[in-house]
Amino acid sequence: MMVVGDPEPGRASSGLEWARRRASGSYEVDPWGADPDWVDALSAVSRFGLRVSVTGDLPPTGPAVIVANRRFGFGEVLALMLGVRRTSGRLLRPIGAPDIAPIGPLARRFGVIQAHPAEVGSLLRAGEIIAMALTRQWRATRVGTISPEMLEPGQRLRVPVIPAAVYGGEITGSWKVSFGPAILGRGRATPLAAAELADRARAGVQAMLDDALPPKWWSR
Amino acid sequence: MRVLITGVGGALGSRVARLLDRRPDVEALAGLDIVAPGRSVRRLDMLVIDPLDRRAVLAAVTHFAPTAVVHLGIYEPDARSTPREAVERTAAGTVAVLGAAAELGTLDRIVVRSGIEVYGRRRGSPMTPDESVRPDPTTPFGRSLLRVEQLAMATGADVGVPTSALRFGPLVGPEFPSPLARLLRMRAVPVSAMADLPFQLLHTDDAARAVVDALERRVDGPVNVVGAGAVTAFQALRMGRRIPLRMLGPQWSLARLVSARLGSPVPDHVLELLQRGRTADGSRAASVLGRAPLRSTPDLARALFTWHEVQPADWLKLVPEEEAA
Repeated sequence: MMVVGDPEPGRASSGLEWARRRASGSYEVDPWGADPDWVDALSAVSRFGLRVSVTGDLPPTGPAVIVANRRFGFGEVLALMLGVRRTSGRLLRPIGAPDIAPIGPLARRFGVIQAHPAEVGSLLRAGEIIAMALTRQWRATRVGTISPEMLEPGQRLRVPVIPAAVYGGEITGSWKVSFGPAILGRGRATPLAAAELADRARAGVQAMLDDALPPKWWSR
Repeated sequence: MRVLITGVGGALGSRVARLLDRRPDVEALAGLDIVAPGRSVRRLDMLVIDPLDRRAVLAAVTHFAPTAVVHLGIYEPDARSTPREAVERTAAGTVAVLGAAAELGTLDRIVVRSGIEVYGRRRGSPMTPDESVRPDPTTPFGRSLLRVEQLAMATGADVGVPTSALRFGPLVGPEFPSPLARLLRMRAVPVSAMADLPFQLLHTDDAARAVVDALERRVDGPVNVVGAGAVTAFQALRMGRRIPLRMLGPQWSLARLVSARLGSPVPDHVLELLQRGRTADGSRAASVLGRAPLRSTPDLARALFTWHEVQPADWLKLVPEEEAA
């Protein structure tokens, strides 16, 4: 298990250098609106109050789709983003930015993208790693559903789907992220095959949550 | 092949003409525009005709009998002409040239200039559309480009020849009359207070090479061609040490009025770019055209502040007056 608190050393930059880059415009913004400077700043600030433990592997390069559970709030998504950034140095692209200013453009700064299959497809073609959250659930041990439509672009490109279980809590500030073995779609990319892939990914997340959080007698 | 280039008097058309002039497989080269290219092209047979003069266009095309049409006679609002003139000239020139070429029976390929403005930026539309996304333009320039594409595709289908629509990112270059570049080069520039979304640019040299590659490879269908990477308006202004003026709602109307008075009108598609960004997925271009654009968007954003000048908006109007004198 890897416990991460500090940003990747190679990416660490002084506040002065950060400010100089911002003032001269010599920072990077990608075509989907992500600004790695802002993600690194978030990562640096969050290390004071957020501890993320990561188990399992992610591909170091190339496209991938992570399917993860979610409750209420943004804790799971934030933990997943920071876990991926700090362990692999990669920028995670969670789906869910609203197309309304100023919230949407601000969310895009941190790598969040819009829930549109064309946008998912273009990011996967560019070799990016995407996070798709299952629908929200009250109980930490339950997982929701996922829209198969969003998995279709990845299935066409034969991109691996990685189930991830995120658990912990905003109150303790300690999160655990577990990545499971990659799942590949079977056969041709059809809506039925995408639905089957979505079901397998969901079952993978549920199995990891069951292992990590065994049901208590009062919740059975 | 016998190549007819429309819009040859512009920066893009003249570059395409020079590239084709060197090719041994080009048997004859004719250029059609309201003005001749700034620099002479050795083998170019120049036809100075206003696209609105349909009869003259028909006669010239019929006389030349092209086997390939490169239609670059697309007029961007507030670039070389007013928004209304731009739409009228683009529509009239497209109908006349493609209609005449289709009647000849000699045509074997068509390449038309389009732009990523055809995708529009309606709420909920993808920010980086690929070619499979259905065009849904939200500005007059986008609608004008889509009409050109539709006419070209219909002509190509009728004649049974491959037709490529090159959807360029906003074009910039040292001699290119870009309303966006002109605006960004002002000392103080209006930007959105609510959003700072990215856009992509394309150098006219890269666009010219893409046209020649599409012609040579007989590419069929739409292809997005954009410079790698992206910049935001605020970032570009920092690069050029310009002053960003944050605008909200009705303030934009005043900003457009003042900007036009200062010689840099802000057409609808440029306003949309500033408020909603303008990017596209250009990954298909490398595979179908054989190469990706050489210049990245951040490099172009930096370079546009170093160019000596960007053609003024009234450039087109000055030429007929000079000729008349």
